[in-house]
Amino acid sequence: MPIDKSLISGSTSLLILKLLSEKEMYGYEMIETLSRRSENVFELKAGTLYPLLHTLVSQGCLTCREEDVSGKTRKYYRITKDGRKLLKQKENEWNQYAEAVSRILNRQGAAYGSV
Amino acid sequence: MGLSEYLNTLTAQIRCRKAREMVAAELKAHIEDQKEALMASGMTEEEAMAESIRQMGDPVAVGADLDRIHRPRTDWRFLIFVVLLSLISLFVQYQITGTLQEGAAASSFLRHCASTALGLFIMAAVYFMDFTAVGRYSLLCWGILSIYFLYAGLFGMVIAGSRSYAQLTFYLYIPIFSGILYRFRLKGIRGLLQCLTLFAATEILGIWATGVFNVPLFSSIIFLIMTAWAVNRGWFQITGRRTLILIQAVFFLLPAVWFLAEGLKPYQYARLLNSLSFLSGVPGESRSFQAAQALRLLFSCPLWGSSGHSAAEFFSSVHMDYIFIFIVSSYGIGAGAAAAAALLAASFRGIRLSFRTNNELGKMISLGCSCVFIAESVHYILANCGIAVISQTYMPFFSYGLRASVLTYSFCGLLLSVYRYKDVAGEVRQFRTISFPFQRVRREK
Repeated sequence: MPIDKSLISGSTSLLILKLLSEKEMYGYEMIETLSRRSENVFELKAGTLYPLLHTLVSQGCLTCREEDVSGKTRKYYRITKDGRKLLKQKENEWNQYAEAVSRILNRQGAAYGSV
Repeated sequence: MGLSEYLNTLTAQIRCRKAREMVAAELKAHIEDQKEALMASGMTEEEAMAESIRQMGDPVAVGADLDRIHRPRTDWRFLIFVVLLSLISLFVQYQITGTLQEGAAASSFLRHCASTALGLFIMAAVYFMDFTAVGRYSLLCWGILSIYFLYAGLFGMVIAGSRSYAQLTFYLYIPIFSGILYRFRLKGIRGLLQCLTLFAATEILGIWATGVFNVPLFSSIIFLIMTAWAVNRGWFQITGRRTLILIQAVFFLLPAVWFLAEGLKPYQYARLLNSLSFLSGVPGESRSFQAAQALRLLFSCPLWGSSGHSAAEFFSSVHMDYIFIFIVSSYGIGAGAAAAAALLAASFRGIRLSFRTNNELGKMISLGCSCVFIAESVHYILANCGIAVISQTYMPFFSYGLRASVLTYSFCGLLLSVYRYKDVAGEVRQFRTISFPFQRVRREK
């Protein structure tokens, strides 16, 4: 089930960097993998993905190379050292944020529960 | 909307024409992948195509997003740095010429101004020229430069037994050979051997034409670094280690064979011993007169401010060969250190650029140009302090003369151009990465 877009948009680069920290991938493969792993929750649009990928390349967080695979030219992206740094930072931010949100949700839950 | 119409609308939003093709190819491959996946799940070809295009999103919005990324960029910091360094260099040359006789001073300073201005003009021209032209026309550039050296060797004026004034121009071969290596990549070991042969021939031409070894020697070391780097990045589709050892062996053995066959002439032997004498730690006597003077002057300098002596009292041709000593003796050791740091900073910015840009040719050009800056700066400063075997040739940005300016500013122009097109130039690596036993490889989980 796809969820509210605004929830994902801020963390797209985190997800992409995380995927690429495991292995190099081409664009379509990233969308597929994301959708499969999140059980169709994250349906990333290609129109969002490519500008994001190109921005990360321009910032030096990713590098890319082309390869001919069965007649098609595929552009593979790979994470760089700077990219790994950014990933670590984004992961920390996300964990803090998620913890804070769940703390608030849980406390309210507990309060309601105690009434 | 059909595929080509969609891509046309999308790429029309990207103002920089050079980037369009690269973007279109990537998105087209994506849409086709998507289409195949949808067809596999039971859609007809037309439905699948329409759905893939719909999923890609609004072409105008996506195109506008990509336009923001793919546009020429100016490396303002480096540009400002270059301009500041040029102004400082003009000031230093003005001060140096102040120590010369009246008439000579005015004319030589004006000349330096003119050559700096011409240099800046060349920098602008190279900057706006797309640096990939160096790849496309590398053989043509090689031909023109070789004709120049042939002409210089046949008809150039011989001064003090050599045409050493022409040697700086030899460094222009470095970016040209970046282009040649790039051209011959993907041609395997044969391509590599062709590059090496061409370079060896060029070396011989350079040594014959100029009659000196300095610049050809440094160029061959830099070329060796570039070749090693190209092999390492898989340009020649050969696994690196053995090839690299072979190339290095040839490079270092050839001069050794030559020495054994020819032997050193007595004056060369004396000079070599003299240059190495600083290793003995005995000051003064054994060292060459100029080196001893230079060291004595250096040790008497305060951290900031004038030492009370000018380099011009001890050396002739300060404006070419002893600029660093002049800076230290006139403005203090701190100023000398600052000048050295500025030169190294400029060079390392180029090295950093070669790691940052995605274009393979751009990487190679910035690597080569920065290596020239590093080699010449370090060598010049060491030679000024009396601790280098080979005498100095040129201090980037500071040296007097038209050839020095042309070299400095054309290289700066190339570095700026590589940065300018780093998000635009479409040629990315098109070959498999080869991993080496000595490289750490991240494995897939």
